[in-house]
Amino acid sequence: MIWHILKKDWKLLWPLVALCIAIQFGLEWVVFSAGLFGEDPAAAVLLRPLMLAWFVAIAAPAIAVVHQDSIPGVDQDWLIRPLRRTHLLLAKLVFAALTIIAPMFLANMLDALATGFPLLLSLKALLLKELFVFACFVVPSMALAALARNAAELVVLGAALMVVFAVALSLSALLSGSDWCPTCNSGMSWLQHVVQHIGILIGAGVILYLQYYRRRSDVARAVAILGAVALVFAQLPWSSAFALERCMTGSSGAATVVGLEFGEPAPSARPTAPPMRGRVDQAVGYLRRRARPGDAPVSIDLPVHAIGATADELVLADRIDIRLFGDDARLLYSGDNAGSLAGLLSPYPGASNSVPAETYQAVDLPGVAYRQAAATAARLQLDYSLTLVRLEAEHRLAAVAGAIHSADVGICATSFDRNSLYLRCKTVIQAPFCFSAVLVGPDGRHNPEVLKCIPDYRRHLPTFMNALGFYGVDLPLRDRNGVAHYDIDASQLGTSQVLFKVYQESEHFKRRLTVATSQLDRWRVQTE
Amino acid sequence: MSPIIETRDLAKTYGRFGALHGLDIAVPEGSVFALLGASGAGKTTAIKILLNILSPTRGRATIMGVDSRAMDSRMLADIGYVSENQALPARLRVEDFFDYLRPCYPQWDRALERRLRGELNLPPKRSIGELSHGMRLKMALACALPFRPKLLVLDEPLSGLDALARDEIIDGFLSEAGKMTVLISSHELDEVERFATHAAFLHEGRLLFQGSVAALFEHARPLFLRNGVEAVEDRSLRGIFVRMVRAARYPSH
Repeated sequence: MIWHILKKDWKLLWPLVALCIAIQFGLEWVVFSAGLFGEDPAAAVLLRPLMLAWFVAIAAPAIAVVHQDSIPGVDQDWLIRPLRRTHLLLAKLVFAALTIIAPMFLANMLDALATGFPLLLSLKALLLKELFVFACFVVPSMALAALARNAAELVVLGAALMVVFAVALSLSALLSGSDWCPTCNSGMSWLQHVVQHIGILIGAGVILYLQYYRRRSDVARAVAILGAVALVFAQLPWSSAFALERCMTGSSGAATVVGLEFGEPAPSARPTAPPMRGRVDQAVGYLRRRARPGDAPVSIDLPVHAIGATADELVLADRIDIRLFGDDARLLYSGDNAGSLAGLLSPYPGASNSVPAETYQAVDLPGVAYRQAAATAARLQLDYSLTLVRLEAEHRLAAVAGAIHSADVGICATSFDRNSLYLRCKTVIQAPFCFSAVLVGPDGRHNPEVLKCIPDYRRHLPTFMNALGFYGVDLPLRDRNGVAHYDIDASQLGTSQVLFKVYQESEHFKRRLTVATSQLDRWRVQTE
Repeated sequence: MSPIIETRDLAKTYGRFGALHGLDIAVPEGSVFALLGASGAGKTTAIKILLNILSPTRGRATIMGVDSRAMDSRMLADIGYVSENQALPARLRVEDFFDYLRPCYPQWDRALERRLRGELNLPPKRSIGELSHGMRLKMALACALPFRPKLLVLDEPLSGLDALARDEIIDGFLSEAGKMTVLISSHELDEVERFATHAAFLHEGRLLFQGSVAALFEHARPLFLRNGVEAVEDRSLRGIFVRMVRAARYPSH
């Protein structure tokens, strides 16, 4: 019977399916045409609307096929036909797989092959991605559709779920503060996403079971509402996420010699230079954000840096748990830096190891607690969750019209204008989260190395839309403010090269740093 | 005749509203059983419970010896159903709908299907959504008979139809009626009187009477007595029903 139900649904829905497939292929064509640098302006303009349409195009057939034999209600024809519920459900799932996932796979595959990625690598990446889209987007869409009789009811239900989700979100933020999502904005957030996706898939399974086998729309709708609340409140604790990540990464032993040090570099170099690498506009913005008036929380930029890492290694701080103790060891404040990336603690790539890393740790303390602690012999305890990343690959390519094609970075090319040189890459595997690039002249002189390191330790968790990952970095050739000087400018690009380095996580570890509060005032960010 | 459908203390409530209040009926096998009552009497609710589309709040119903709640897809292969509210796939063409249904029923008789489609004059190429109300009901009937069901359930099949369409529908199912049990719900009492062998009167979810039509006329005799003398009035199914409902509403009269 599965085939007959499928045939009936196809006869009813083929125009919609054809339109949705056209949108999928249209988006793929636009992505392909836009290239690495948006060479085709028409394609670049079409990209955004087509990306929005893409979501509709994969949800619409999934919802429509369920509504051909909707579950809630008492007048549907299928209720009085000798159809097995399993056959009905399977027919809907197979329809979605054939009309949504199969064309998507084909479009993605054509794009990957036309771009130049190998068949087997593309096949593996795409099968995983299509399975992910089916399990985490199509099946949940079908489960939601099964809760409503038609599209109008579904819109109302969807709006209600969104309201529930928003209320739960604000309630969670109210109850837990910035720590409502311990893994958010960290490299571990993918673990939370996996947990959420598994939760959504299980919830969708429960709803489909309740609807197709029990026809309990009231219970199933309650499950959907509870699921929306659970998505917000079921957060993976940081310690569990970190332990899990640590377990998966394993231990190379390289981190045993890495420690943290409370250093004191030259005050003139303070907060701007290290994080901004001479980008004056960014540095000014940074200072403005950090400087706060009056009774606001006290912001401190602590000179903390990692020691013991080799030149090929970087130390990233994933999270800091902050505790402020009074002179009687009483806890005055406990918090964390959740919501902001802690950043790089080791020397910047390209910097000499003999020079201490000029790295500042931004710490916010409540004004009352800070003043209370400053008056006594209190101490600030910082518990760091750290990641050691190691240089994985190094590539050189010509600054002008340079291109590389390798298994670890994918396909990369360069382009430039009078302000910057652009390095852009496309990969069919997971894009690296940490990479750096530096423009090197024929005589060895080089511009400041630009590091892009946004921790993301995901393992084969694809994105919905495209199996191809895009990434890149901009290398400035001049400072528009005229402050910074660059050794290599646009006129020397013809003979210059880009040195492109890719880093990969090596080990996760923890370190503790204790600072006497008497020292803190020196590093307090002064208001203007 | 043993009952093919039996209900015991069947009740259904929607929030505070009671649609059925302890319904006890027995539909004999081979009969044409009319479930009669005004709109909102509980006829459709009773039928939906019998077909396991709704769950009863209390009591139970058995259909062909099986609890209606345990009815599986195999049993549905022996039950034909036609309803004025049946939601059919509007964009499907008539012939495509027949193509879809045929494999669902192992005992589907293609010759009977051809005969019914011809007699009911169904346009094969038109989509179901383009059919008139009467035509849609005729199509539903033509879909409910070719698999020769043991039980044919008709829920208000005559409602809103012109005289010609009514006759076509009635002739359509009567042509096969001898081989199956027919349960028909209707508030069109004059039409039903032509073919019903048994009847049950429902009023506001309560059973007023059930039995053979002959027994009904006998049972209703006291209602036509005026000062001990039988009044010569409308002794049709409709006349009996009106008097029974009045008697139920105003017991003191």
